[in-house]
Amino acid sequence: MTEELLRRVSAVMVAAIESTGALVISVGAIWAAIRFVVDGLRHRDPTVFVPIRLSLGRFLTLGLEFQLAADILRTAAAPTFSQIGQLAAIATIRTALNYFLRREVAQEQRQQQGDRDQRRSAQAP
Amino acid sequence: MIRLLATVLTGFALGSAAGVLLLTASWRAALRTLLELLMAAGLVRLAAAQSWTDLAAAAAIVVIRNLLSTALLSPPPRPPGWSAAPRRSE
Repeated sequence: MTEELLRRVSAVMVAAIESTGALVISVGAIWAAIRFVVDGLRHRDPTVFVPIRLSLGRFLTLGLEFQLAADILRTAAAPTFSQIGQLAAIATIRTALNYFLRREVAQEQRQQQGDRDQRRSAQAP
Repeated sequence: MIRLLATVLTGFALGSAAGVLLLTASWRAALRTLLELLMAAGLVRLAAAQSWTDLAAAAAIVVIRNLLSTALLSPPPRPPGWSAAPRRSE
């Protein structure tokens, strides 16, 4: 009885957390898609997309954190090896992507900072 | 519901990339936009992954996106003899 109750509560929590992650990713992606077009229309210059890409990267990272939490919670009720295997594969994909996204966001931030410093030193008398 | 959301995101990805290509005439920017947004759609679809095929498709998108992003992030090759420093007139 307790185990059944724990499984049901766990299933509800997993669904809620995973949906939150999916929602965060979707909101970030739709916002970025619209901003790409609006800023492209305004400036006609691909360099203005860097801050949009950084923000999208942050949205994706946050969404992935929620989904990883759901993956961990899901292992509480994974009765077959096939399900455990699928969970492991999903968690690996998400963890690897999280790592690459964080690295790219840091790299683009450093590039942006470098460009800003270069412009400042070019403007300085 | 999640699959529908992933499909909507895929539509946004294609539309946004087409818009970027038309507005900036930069295929790199358009391709990066497409890859980023398709990856977002793939991540959402991963939440509804029911089979190993779905997982493999999501993993493939992530790998392709990372490989292409690394290639696109590196600056384009410069012609031989090109120098970044301005030439001083003598």
